[in-house]
Amino acid sequence: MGAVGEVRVPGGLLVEVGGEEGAVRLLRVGLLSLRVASLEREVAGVVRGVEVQRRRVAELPLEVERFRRLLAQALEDRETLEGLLGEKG
Amino acid sequence: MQLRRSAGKCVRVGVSREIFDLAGELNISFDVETVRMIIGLGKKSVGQEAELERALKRLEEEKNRLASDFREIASQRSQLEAAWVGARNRFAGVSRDNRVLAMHLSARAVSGVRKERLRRELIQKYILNYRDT
Repeated sequence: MGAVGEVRVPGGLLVEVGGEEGAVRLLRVGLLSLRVASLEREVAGVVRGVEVQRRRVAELPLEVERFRRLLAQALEDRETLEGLLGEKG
Repeated sequence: MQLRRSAGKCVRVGVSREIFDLAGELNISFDVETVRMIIGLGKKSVGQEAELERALKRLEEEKNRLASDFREIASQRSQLEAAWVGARNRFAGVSRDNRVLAMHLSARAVSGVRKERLRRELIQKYILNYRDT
C-alpha cells in the first residue's frame, strides 16, 4: 500500500519500534484498536437506541387503545349531556 | 528505508490511505503526542492485527444491521405516534365540547333522581375533575 501522507514520529520512539516499518505497523494496530473500541461504543449506543424505540413501539398501541376507549366514553357522555340539556327545565 | 529527519527530533514517516482513513473515522489528528499514544496502544495490541481486523469487520456489519433495524423501528414508531396523536386529539376535542356542555348543565336543573345523579357525575367529571390531555 503506497504512502499518501506523512506523520511526524519522535526520533527516539522510531528507533525503539524498529524504524519506519515498525512505526507504521504499530500506528495501524493502535488505530485499529481505537476504532474497534469506538465501534463497540457506537454499537452499544445504537442497541440502546433500538431498545428505546422498541419499548415505545410496544407501548403506543396500548396508548392508542386507551384513547379510543376514552373517546368512546366521551362520545357516550356527550349524548347524555345533550340529552340532559335537551330536557325542558 | 530512508528516514527523513526534521526539526524537533521528529522524523517524517510515510503512511497509507488506510491509516489516514482510520484516523479520520476517529476524528484524530496526527500531532506528535497523539502519534506517541497510538504507537503505545499499538505496542499493547501487537500480534492481534488479524483479530482486530475481524472485530472491526464484525462491528461494522453489526452497526449497519442495527442502523437498518433502527430505521425500520423508527418508521413504525412514527406511524404509531401519528395514530396516537390522532386518537388523543379526537378525545381531547370531544372532551372539551363535553366540558362546555357540562358548564351549561351546571346552570340547569334536571328532573328525576337518575338524571340528577348523571348531572352530578358529569359535572364532577368535566368541570371539577377535568384535566387537559
